[in-house]
Amino acid sequence: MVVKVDGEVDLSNAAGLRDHLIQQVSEGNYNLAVDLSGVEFMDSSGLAVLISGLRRTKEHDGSLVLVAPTASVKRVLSITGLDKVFEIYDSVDKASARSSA
Amino acid sequence: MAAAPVFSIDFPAEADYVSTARIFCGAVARHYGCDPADIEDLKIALSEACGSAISHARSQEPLRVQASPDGGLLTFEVNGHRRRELQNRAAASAEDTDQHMLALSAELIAALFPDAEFVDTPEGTFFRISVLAGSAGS
Repeated sequence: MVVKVDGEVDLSNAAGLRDHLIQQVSEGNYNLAVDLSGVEFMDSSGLAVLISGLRRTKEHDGSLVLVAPTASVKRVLSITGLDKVFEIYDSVDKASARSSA
Repeated sequence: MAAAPVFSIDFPAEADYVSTARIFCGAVARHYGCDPADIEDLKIALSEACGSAISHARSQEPLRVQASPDGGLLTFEVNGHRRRELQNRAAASAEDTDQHMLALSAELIAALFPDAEFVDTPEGTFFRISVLAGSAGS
């Protein structure tokens, strides 16, 4: 399942992303690819939601991978060390190939 | 010689206005010729500071973000007043997410601006960072 995120992710809307990820897991989608190619800005509220989503999928032996983060998002992932926590792919196709392998 | 101008914006201590604070800071920093990479870091740090201030703010007290040039530096300050409840942040985060966010927020600010000043008192929160100004606005 691919979750496409666009625009800016901050305190004002991170809860919406969190709720969407929770809904996906509750519907049995335990392997999520979050497409970040359209995200212009993300702060700690967005990062925390991604971590929470990763934990929820792992509770079901699934995964949450990141796809095509923009330079801005790559920077916050790198600073916080989360680029070592998440699997990151260049494209949805590559992420999908990995999950179906 | 005229005194250096001070730019400020007051807005309700609500999460919906954090993006406005980022736009304000970015515009002032561009006016003063700050490096584009520094501006992006500034927007991240300000977003974190505003988020923290909002989580501690009194519902009726506005949040103030101020920018002031001084020599070759452009200094940004965030002032917020404390309240007892954590209404705004509670709405945007829950369970472990909140703890993750607090830790990540502190980590981001410290990494981007090691000299950032952050004071959390019973009266409220105060945050100050400075970036190098360029020549465009001087």
